[in-house]
Amino acid sequence: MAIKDSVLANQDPWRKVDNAIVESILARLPVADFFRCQAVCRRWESVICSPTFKKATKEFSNRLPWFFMLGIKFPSNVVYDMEVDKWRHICLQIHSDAGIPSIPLAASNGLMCCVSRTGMLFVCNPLNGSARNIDVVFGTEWFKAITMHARGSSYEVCEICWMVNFSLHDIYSSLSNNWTEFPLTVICFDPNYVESNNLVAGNMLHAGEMLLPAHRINVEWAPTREIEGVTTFNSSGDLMVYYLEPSGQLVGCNTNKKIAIIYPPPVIHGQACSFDLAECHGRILILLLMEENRAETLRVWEFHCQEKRWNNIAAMPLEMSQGYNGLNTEITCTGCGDYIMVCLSSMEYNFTMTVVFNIVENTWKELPACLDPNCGHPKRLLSAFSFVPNIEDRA
Amino acid sequence: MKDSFNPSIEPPKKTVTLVSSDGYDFEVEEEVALESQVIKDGFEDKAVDDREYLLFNVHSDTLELIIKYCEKHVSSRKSISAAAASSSSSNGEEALKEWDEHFISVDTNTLYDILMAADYLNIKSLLDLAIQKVADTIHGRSPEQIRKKFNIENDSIIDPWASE
Repeated sequence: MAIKDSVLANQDPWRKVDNAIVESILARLPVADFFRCQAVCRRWESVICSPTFKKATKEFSNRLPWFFMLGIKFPSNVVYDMEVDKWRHICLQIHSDAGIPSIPLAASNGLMCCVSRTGMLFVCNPLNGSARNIDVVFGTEWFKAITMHARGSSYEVCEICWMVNFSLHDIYSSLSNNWTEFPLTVICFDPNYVESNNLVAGNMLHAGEMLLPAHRINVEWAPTREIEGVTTFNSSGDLMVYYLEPSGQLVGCNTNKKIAIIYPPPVIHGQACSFDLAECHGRILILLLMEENRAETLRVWEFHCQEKRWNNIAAMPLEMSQGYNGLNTEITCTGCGDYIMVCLSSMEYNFTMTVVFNIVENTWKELPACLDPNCGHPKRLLSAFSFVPNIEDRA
Repeated sequence: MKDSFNPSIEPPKKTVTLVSSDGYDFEVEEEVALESQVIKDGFEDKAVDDREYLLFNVHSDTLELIIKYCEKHVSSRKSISAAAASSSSSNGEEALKEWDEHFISVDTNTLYDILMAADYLNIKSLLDLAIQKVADTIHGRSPEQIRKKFNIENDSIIDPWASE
């Protein structure tokens, strides 16, 4: 045994490198490399599985997001890995029921919320497979919007459901493992309300009177129509939940003060074609595909609280927009860190385009076509969910 | 005594002797040797005429490289701070980064030797450089390619589920 060890030590000098160094080498790698390194040898596997490794990877915590893509075929088994700026064909460990994988509805940080074939709601970490069933109050067919907010292994999921003539808001907390309804006591049309705390009586409506379509629309989930809302914290530390009404109106709910704010729509010169909501560094943005002067352009809007209006902060370069002009294109988008992933697609014209917008540098980058490794044809991608790859957080 | 100090005359450079594992002596300037935290710790306690260090774990080939690295970093630091003092623009940091990049572009065995020596001598910036280089070498390779590159025996019992 001793002889064998010394022979091996000769052949494999890297054995002499102590675990602390092996750990700091492996912790610097992009997350996708962890999985390959685990399979190199038992020692590397044990280093990656140790609790100190998780701490070491946190030192390089400025991890870039993965965009999990949904396509015409489900599951698409594709992520766009911003750490290496590449498409990655990977089978994520998303909860599945009788072999049928659940469909993602929302994602935040390292966790994802998805609905199973039988309508059960699950929160899972797609990298380590940890999952939790969170019983829904209403079935997903009642969902108008769903948002998720995760910090490490604790999270909140908020569902907004259609009722006869108003919306019902329920929030799930992983800490209490329970759903609670949060009735909105004030519905306010003045986005300045929270900031000024100066409520004018005329601005107040009761939840039942909220001006929403009186009939229930069956919002069937489709990859081209995301129902994922976004969350942020406001300056007072209250969790804010934002979602878009089908009409395009943005609703912001303060889950602590129980106030809903209905934002006016952006004033545009032209025809709105398709839009979606995104969040970047706590900024709430609407991406709007619109037709102006007979050309389609994609513009990014951000609400300016003092001026009480939407400002157009960026637009996709003209030459990039030419690719989808007149194709009846729909957009979906999701933000994470500095980036927004935008999917443009047209069922009618069999068209797909994926673009990453960097909000800090104000740059747009069209991604190369994602080729199916089996047949070599480009995959038709329709929408994306962003998460930060992490092997530690548990649902 | 202090009054007699004349800044125009440079004092003779103090040196220390580093002895490699294969018995070669390297005489280096004190400040170069002090890049190593191990040498720095307890340096003042050592008698001036006994500043000789036996580095049992560092071969002369590696020691030569390590000394080259430390000399470069000591001199670069000086010129960077001199440029800052005279507020003249300098791309010293950039140039040093480039030099480091070139310095660490070595074969896997030499990289291993540098890594081990930097760890043994506790030269943090060099250890960091070597660790990053090893990580860069691993990045994007399959388990089999990694084993081959680093001559690691395959005793793994898991099948990687991540495939590309």
